[in-house]
Amino acid sequence: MIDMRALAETLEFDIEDVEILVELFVENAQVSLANVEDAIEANDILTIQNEAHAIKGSAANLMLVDIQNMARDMEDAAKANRKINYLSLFSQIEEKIEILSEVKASYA
Amino acid sequence: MPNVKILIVDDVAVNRMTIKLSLKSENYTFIEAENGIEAIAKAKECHPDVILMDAMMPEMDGFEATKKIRDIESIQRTPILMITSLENKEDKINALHAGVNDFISKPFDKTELKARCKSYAQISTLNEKYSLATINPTTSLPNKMALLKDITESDNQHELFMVKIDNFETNENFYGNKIVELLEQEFVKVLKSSFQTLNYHDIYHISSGKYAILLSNETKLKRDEIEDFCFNFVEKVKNSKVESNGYDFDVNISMSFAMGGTSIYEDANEVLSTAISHKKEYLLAEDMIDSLKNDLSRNLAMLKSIKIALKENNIAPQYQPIFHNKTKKIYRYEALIRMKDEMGQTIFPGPFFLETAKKGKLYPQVTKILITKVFDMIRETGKEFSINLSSLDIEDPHMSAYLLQMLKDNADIADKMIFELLEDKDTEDYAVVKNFIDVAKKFGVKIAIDDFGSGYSNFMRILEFEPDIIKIDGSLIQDIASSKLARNTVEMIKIFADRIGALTVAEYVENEEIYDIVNEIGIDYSQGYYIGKAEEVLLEEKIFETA
Repeated sequence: MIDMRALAETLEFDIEDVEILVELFVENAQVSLANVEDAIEANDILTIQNEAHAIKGSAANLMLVDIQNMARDMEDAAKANRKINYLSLFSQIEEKIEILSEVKASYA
Repeated sequence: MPNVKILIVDDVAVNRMTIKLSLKSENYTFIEAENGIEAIAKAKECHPDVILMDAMMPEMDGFEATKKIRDIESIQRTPILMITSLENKEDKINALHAGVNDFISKPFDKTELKARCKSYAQISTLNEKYSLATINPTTSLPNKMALLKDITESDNQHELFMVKIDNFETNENFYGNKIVELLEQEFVKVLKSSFQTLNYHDIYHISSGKYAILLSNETKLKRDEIEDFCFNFVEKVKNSKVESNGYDFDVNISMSFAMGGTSIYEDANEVLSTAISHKKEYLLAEDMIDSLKNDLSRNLAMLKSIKIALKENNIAPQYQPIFHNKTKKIYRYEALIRMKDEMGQTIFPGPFFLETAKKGKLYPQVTKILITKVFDMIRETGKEFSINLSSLDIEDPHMSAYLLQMLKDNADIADKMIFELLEDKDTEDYAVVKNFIDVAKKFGVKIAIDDFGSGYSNFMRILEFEPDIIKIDGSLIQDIASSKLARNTVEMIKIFADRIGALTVAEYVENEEIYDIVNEIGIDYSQGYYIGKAEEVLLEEKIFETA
């Protein structure tokens, strides 16, 4: 769950701005995740790394620590070319983002 | 701050939005780019004040883009802040090497981001002011300030060419600013292509129609290479037309070259001025500076000799006899200043001596010695003596007061003094000269006009001075046997002198032939080597050897 008000306070943003940002984050992350899914199937490690990096960075900006950490794990693994279960990590991130989008929707 | 533009470079839209929202209170204009390639294009197009650059991006990353921006002259000074989650120290060092100025780490602190943007935007404004101050707006070339900075920033020896379009100001007035600005832009292309072979550091736009080309430190030209280059470049420009806005310009240039340290700009500039005033197409500083130095050391040596001679009492007149043609007697002498050097050797002071003495402010002292010694001679011998006075002596109030005092002190013999007036092109006030002559005449002093018939003599002036004696210029007398014109002129002067009641003296009577013609014409006196040289001892009489 995400507390928009708390987030706005921490980031020193207006609540409206946080809404815009979260919405945008979800949109961007969903695109990235779709790319990651394809890349896992194609075993395209570099794309996994880059997309994970993108998610990590924007999650960090919004202090979405869970997502940031999972994305970082994925990026690091890809960078080191480690054979991990990318699909499982992918599902976890996707789940978090799904929740975020629902929160956003219910909030609106 | 006026409309600060921030270029945000990030492939993720939400990140760009986060930055925009963080800075929304600052009234910035935002430009966005999704990768390095786009960033460079937008930077060139919009000239942002600050670039916020993501590190990892598709197409071209932030490192590469930063490096490229640092190489593009129009935007290379833009502050670049890298917004990054890079924790790796090595990556940060790489970023700094690429030309990144600072970092903002993700997740960023909004206050910190604001503060940094503000601070770098200020730097950017200063940079812009600096560029405006160091770049010529017409040609976008660095200007004189930039050149001086480049010269003084290193202790190296530099090589500098300066080029000036001749009569540029006339063109400017005739064709108007717009066309002449285009002409300058076209001419800069010519400069760039021509100087390319010399491996130049930069071309500077010094002022309208005037340029400087500083060679890079590796270029070391030989003298003949420089001369060849100047010659060829001047010819090339002369033989081609520069087109500006449909007008063909026949451009002529003057140029100079100097090498050296921090004074190189002044040197090249002075040499260029000399080239222009002497209508030389090009001039090398080493030539001119050498000759200036030579002049200077010659002047100093002469000045030193004069000072020593004054101190050692080694300035004394010699007396040249003035022979009375009718009576064949000598009762007049011209006193000529002579100086002995340290070795006791007599120096014949030519114009250079007089010039130097005047410039060194020693001339009055020399004149005073002369007049004192001449009065001593008059008192001793009872003969008549003439001294040379220039109108400068007379116009100098101290000098003329001194002369009049000397006349007063020697009033009993002043009628044996003759003042030979040298016409001087620098005579400023004829009334002063005339007044002095009138007073001197009251003491019985005779007035002679020296070198009459050449130079600046004119009949009106002569009449005003009411001279007792006219000394006919030596150059006429020298030619009197060979030149009909010279003889006619001398005969004319004789008639003129008779008319105003003045006696005539022929100078430069060097031989018997001249002496005979002078007598034939009826000139009253002869002076010259045929009669006698100037000596310390008076020549009492002249006995001609008869054939």
